Amino acid sequence: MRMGILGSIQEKEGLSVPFVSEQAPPEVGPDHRRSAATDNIQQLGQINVPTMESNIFCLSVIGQVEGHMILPPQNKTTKYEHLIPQLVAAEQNPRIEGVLIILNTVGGDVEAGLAIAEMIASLSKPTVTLVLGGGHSIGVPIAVSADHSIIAESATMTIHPIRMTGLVISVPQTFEYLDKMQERVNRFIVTHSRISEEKLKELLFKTGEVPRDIGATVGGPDAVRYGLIHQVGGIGDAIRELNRRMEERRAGRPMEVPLQ
Amino acid sequence: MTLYTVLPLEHVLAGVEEMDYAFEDVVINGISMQVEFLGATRARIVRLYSADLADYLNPRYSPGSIIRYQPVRESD
Repeated sequence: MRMGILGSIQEKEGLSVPFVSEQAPPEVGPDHRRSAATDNIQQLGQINVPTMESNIFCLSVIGQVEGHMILPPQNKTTKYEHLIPQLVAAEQNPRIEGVLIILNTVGGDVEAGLAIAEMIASLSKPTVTLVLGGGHSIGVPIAVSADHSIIAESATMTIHPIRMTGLVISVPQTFEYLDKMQERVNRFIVTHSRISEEKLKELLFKTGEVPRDIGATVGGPDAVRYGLIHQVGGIGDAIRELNRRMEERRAGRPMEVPLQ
Repeated sequence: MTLYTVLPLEHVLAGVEEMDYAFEDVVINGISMQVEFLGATRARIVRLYSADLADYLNPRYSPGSIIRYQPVRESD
């Protein structure tokens, strides 16, 4: 299983890999691998667990979803311009049979978030999302974009209106613009989950739950009850569901005919 | 650009005016990328501009990875 992008870095032998990533599959024979492992023990006092080629591509969406603007460095960000080609590669690579998306995000850029959500929704391979910790704001459309969505019992999703700060010159136009932005997000959520538009709007404009704002904090079981997410669960459920869907897909299409 | 996030915008954007990056475009192993200099011999990958699809799945080229420069004599 190969992981997506993260900002944190761990340097090793001049190369560096994000700390959640596994090494790229070695291109050398078993003998070379053994000597590389011995080198690692001698030089670093540690050994890499032998990597098994996985047929699941795992993508993590963490921190802020970064869009058209580079955010200041105190933000942990998920860079959408890297995720999009990764999803293209996952769709195209015949060895990848399913995609698992793990979310723990505070939201971010509307356009970038919707782009990622649309990409996941239009993948032909089975997809499962798992919300851990939080899947807030623009994380909600990403969370509902997969074939099957799972939320940890302790995780929450904050559903609130898009807001802005700063100088507003043309109030009616600004209102209209933000309303249209919100409408895009709402439409995606409603068409990719079982929640009704009325219920979503009720949550959006709820008062008394979210500090400094209107909106609702929806916990794991409530997200399932409202029809936003399919089930409460964890990584075991996510992998099981993905494997089931991958098997189903294999059974439906037993012949892999390469495109010429 | 519209940010839709639970974090207060003033927290997300704090320090945006002081951001001063030394970005440079380089080509490594046929991959064109933007890097941020970290001193004379090291740089951090910011984004890949153009790469083989498989390179996007290779963690060695993921944003945040460090690349190193080797000083060589100019006449070499």
